[in-house]
Amino acid sequence: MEINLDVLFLAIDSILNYTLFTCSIAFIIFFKLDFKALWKSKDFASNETLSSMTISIVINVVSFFLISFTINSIVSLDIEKNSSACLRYTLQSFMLLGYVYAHIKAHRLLNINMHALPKLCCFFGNILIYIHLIRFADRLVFETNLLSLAYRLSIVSINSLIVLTMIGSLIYLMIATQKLNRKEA
Amino acid sequence: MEATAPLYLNFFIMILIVAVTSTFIAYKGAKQRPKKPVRDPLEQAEEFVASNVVHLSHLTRDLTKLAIRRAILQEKGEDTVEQTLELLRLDRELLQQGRDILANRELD
Repeated sequence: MEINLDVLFLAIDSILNYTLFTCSIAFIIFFKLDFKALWKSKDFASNETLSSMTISIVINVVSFFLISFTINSIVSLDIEKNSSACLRYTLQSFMLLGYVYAHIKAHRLLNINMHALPKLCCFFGNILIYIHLIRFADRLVFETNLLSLAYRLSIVSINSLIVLTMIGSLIYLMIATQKLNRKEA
Repeated sequence: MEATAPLYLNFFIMILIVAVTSTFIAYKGAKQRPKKPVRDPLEQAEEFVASNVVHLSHLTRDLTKLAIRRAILQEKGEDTVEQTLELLRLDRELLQQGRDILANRELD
C-alpha cells in the first residue's frame, strides 16, 4: 500500500495544532478568573511560570493561524511554482523572526524571567529559519532539490515537538492552578 | 532561469540576514534578567529593622523587663545625663544577662 507522505505530514501537523488550540480555549474557559486576577494584580514576578507559559501558548496559537493563513493564500495564488516557493520561504522566515521577537518582547514588557519552555520555542524558531534558509538554497539557488523529504520531515517533527510540549505545559498549568485554588480554599 | 538566479540570491541573502538577526535576538533575550525596581530607602530601612527584631520569647523574664524599660527610656528621648547613665547601666546589665544565657546554653 502506498502512503502519500505529504497528506500524512499535513494531517499530523494540523491535528496537533488544532488540539493545542482547543486545549488552550478549554484552559481559558475553565481558568478565566485566575488570569483576570493575575492581570488585575499586575504581580507577574511572583507568578513567573504561569505568566511565561501563558505568553508562550498565546504566541504559539496566534502564530500558527497567521502562518497557515499566509501560506494557504500564497499557494492559492496563480503564479509560477518557483516564485511561489520563494515567497513562502521568505515570508515564513520573517514571521518566525517575529515569533522569536514577540517572545522576548513580551517577557521584557512584563519584566519576568524566561521559563525553559519559551526558551525552547525560541531555539526551535531559530532552527526553523535555518532550515528554510538551507531549503531555499537547495531548491532555488543551486536547483538540486535534494532535501525535499528532509525539509518536510524536519518541519513537521519540530512543529509537533513544540505543540506536544505546549500541551504538556497546559496540563501542568491546570494541575498547578488547581493546587493553588485548593490551598486558598 | 538565468535572469532569475540573481533575484533568488537576493532573497537568500535576505533570509540569511533574518536568521542571523533572530539568533542574535534569541541569544540576547535568553540571557536577559528582569530589571529590579528602584526601592524607597525608607521602606528598605523598615524592612531591615523588622528583620532584626529580637523575639521576646527567647529572653528571660528579667531580660525582657530590662529591654522594655530601655526601650521606654529611649522613646522619651530627653538628653539628660541621668538618662544616658541609666541607659548605659541597662545596656551593661542586658549584655551581662545575654552572656550568661549564652554560657548556660554552651554548657547544656
